[in-house]
Amino acid sequence: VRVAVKKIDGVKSVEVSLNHGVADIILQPDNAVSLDRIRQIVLDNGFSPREAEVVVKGHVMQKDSQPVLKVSGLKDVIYPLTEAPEAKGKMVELLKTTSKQTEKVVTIRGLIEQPKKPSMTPRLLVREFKLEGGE
Amino acid sequence: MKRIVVLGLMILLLVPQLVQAEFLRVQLKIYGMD
Repeated sequence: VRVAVKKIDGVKSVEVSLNHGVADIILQPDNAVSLDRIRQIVLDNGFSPREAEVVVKGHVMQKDSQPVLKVSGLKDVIYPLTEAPEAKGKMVELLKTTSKQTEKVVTIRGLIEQPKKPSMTPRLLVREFKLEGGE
Repeated sequence: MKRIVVLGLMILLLVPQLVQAEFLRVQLKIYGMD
């Protein structure tokens, strides 16, 4: 599985610990690798992918009055956001100043659950985030 | 010629937008399947 994931264009390094059951993947800047693609490759190599701790950069905005993160790539993915207690409500504060016209670029550290169905987009639990470029 | 220049400028303006969002690190839990 390590070799297969490493072959993806945009993957910088992969460490797999079967004892801990974790694949730690570092990606190159400006990559277009999706989490779905990584999950599919893991599955194709005989392992079952579960939840993922991620660091992801994207546009935070309101969609249908819900906070979401848009991750651009080969195909845009919209993750609904939920704030973890350790984020201390700061995401909610940021979203008060966010509208469709004023998207903000943020880097988020958080948890993405394994979707129950392949067609479902899971929620991103925000543990920590950083606003990029001040706006 | 003008169209090509305009198209080139549009691509240059759009590319930074497209690469502004991405996964930087993924720690994926995996389980072996028997």
